Amino acid sequence: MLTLHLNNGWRLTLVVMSLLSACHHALGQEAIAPAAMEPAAMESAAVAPVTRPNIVLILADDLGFSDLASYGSEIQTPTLSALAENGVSFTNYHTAASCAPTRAMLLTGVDSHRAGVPNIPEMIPPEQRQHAHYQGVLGRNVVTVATLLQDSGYHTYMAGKWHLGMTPDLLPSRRGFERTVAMADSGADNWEQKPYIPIYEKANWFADGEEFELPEDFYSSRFLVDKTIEFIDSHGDDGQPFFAYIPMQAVHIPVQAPQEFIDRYMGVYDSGWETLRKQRLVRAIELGIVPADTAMVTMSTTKDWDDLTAVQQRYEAKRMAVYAAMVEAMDFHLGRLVAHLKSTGKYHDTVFIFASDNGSEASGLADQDAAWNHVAMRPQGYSVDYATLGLKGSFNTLSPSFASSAAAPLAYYKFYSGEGGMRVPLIIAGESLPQKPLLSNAFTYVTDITPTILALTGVSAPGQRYGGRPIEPMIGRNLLPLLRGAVQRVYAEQDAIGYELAGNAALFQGDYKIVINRGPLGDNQWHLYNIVIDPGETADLSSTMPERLQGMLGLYQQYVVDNGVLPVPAGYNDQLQIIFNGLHDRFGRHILLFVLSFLVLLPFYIAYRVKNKE
Amino acid sequence: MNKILRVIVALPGILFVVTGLRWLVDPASAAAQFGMPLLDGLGRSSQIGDMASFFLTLGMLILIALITAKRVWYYPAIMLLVFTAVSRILAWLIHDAAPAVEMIAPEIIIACLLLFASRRLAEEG
Repeated sequence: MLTLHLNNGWRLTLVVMSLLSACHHALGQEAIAPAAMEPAAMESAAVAPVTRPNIVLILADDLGFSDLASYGSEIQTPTLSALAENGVSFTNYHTAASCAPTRAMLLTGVDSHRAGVPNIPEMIPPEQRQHAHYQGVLGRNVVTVATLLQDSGYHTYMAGKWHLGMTPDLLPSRRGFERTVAMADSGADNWEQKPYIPIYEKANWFADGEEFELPEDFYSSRFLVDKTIEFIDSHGDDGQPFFAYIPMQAVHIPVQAPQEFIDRYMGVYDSGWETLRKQRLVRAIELGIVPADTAMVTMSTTKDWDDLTAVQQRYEAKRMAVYAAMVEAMDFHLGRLVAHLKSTGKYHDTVFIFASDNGSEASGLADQDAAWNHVAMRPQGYSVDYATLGLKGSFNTLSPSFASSAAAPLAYYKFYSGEGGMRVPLIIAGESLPQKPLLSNAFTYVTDITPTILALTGVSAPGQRYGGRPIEPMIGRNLLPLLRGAVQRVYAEQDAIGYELAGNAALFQGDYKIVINRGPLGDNQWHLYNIVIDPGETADLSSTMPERLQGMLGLYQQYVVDNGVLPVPAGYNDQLQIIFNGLHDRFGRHILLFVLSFLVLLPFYIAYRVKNKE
Repeated sequence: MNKILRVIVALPGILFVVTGLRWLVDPASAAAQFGMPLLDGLGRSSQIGDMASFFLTLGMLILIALITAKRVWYYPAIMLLVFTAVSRILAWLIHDAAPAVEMIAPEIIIACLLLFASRRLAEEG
């Protein structure tokens, strides 16, 4: 590939033999040898864009809607605030309510059901697993943005959580990423190579497709940024732009942070979750993140702070302090990346995209300090002691009550289709972006990220085939017109965007949303909200706008048919399913051996007993 | 003590007989209870015949064991329950069936109850 450098770091790349980049792909990778590529793929890969910025795509894990300072949080996130001041903050951005479906849609622009990841594999019941598109791993019928960029001459790096498949052919090194260090599980410890829940035998880390041992001085946010910097520096200034995907572990459970960050938040949350939720609402209104008259609902899982004893309040306040510290630690290390790019002259050519994979997680115990939990955590090598909360060897989570504050002023949490599970921060920033508005209230969706990256980099979206095989079409929209301030919305009033995850579902159309949430928190009924004027989903419009409700329900049924959405089995419980799938995957062989041994030995035992009686 | 145990053992026995009769009288609702649709043709014949005979036999074995107080009548009932539970576990492990804990747990518990009753309430032979 020949590359010419132009002024101000912008590059005009002549793709003379760009398809040769496919030659280093091993068999089974997304891209294939040039001779076998389809015309449509060649057309896509051979586009020579005029401007080719670097792209840094950062994905926080389980970060709530108001967890950033620029979205109303008391948590100090100066790096992301600086990016927000130099870009556009989206206040009506939606993602899937769980991590793997989000990651599939984020990297492909394709609906999660069509991409093979309608749910995380740990939660998919056997009734659904019988279907090819319900495996919970990224299908071969989709192409990642990394592949498209790599085939167009980009260096592509990834450091962080993958969770889209663990077998060698499913790892990021086979999905368009040139250099990778990837954690394949739903989560892992932030201080050491250790599984965070017993469904995993070990924390599965891979580097460039091979099993990988973490260093002794590991802390997730620091390590992932260090590796990203290492990858970027490894190619020096060879003239090729880069795409760096950094899916952080922060702030997924276990919630852990360095002591110096925790110290900054000790005492900050002593007034409790109700106070914090109100404070965040006020700040979000002041910042223009939500309308001035935004109302909130109190979730049934939110306890009364005053009912707690002083000891319980102290413990809960520290749980939240560790959470805040983990957010700030992530921001601090992202700041190191920004500083590095500035010092190496790459910052001005770089566009940053920051988002969360879903809303705040509320699956932590309401009473983490319960005596039985201290005992239950020991076999996993974890402590929940107050003194060491958040440090190495400690298993900290956010209680449902404080999780509701992290999602403030929204209702519901991760896994649910309420705004608290689906609406998260999105910041797109960069010196090279056109003059832009600071805030956008336009509806945007996770599938829009890949088309936007392609537009930023001048790479054409693939057609119906890529790399010699048919692929699913992208459904996302290019957000560049919004970034330029040229339009107010990229989805027309009549455009409908459907969504489903484990029976919790939603459909967005214009300013409206229909939503259904299953138990234990939901009532399994459809509700209609205007999420632009009522992001807290407090006023159900089902009875006052029945025609709109019926129309949107019809569109949702069409979405179900078009995307092969399967119903969940009767009595499905996502948390129980994790346990059963974990037992099956980790201990299935042991259970099978025990049961078969029982069946084989039983006749001998009966014969022995009968003989003795005689 | 033994009277209470007799009542506790009789309850599942009666329940199994009623379930068997349900398969004969209202097979659609009985099938729904076990998470399956009512099949058609030969499948329906096998479904109703096998399921009804399974539960009628199981329930009557338990009741006969109680009435005769002979230990030997308990064993086939225990075997039916244990093998059903084991088969469910194998179906989950090998054939992608649902884990069916809500079915397996009562089957194991009742099998253990019958084993205990066979020691307390019955004689040899």
